[in-house]
Amino acid sequence: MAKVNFLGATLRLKYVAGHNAQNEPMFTTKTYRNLNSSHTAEDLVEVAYAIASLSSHALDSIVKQETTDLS
Amino acid sequence: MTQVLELQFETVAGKTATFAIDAPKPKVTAEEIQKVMQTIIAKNVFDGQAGTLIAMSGARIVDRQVTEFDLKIE
Repeated sequence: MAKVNFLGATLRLKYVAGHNAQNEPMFTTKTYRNLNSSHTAEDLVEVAYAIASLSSHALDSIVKQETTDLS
Repeated sequence: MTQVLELQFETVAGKTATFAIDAPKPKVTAEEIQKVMQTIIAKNVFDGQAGTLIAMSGARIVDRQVTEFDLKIE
């Protein structure tokens, strides 16, 4: 059985920062590092919405990026 | 003028952790910021080298003025 060892995770919030001349959305991403290994997806989503609520940009998507060590 | 809202937390190791939010809502209130910071602390999803976030330490909006020079680039 392979061992999965949590190394780290980041939260990436993708915002719509405006629209270009062709009216296509332009995106901007903000990354928050140092997620712990014990968080739940529900908590993460709630934190993401809370952070996004202070921004004037509209939140487009929430991405969690996790790095694990396999052995 | 570019604005960044910075949320500052105290960590368990006595250090400060800063969260930056680009393009903060105009006229954002202290109450709104406080609620978000309390949510971040309560949900406890962050845990950096300096440890878990345990308390609010401050919040500020940082203005950045950028002036571009008109260079003649061939």
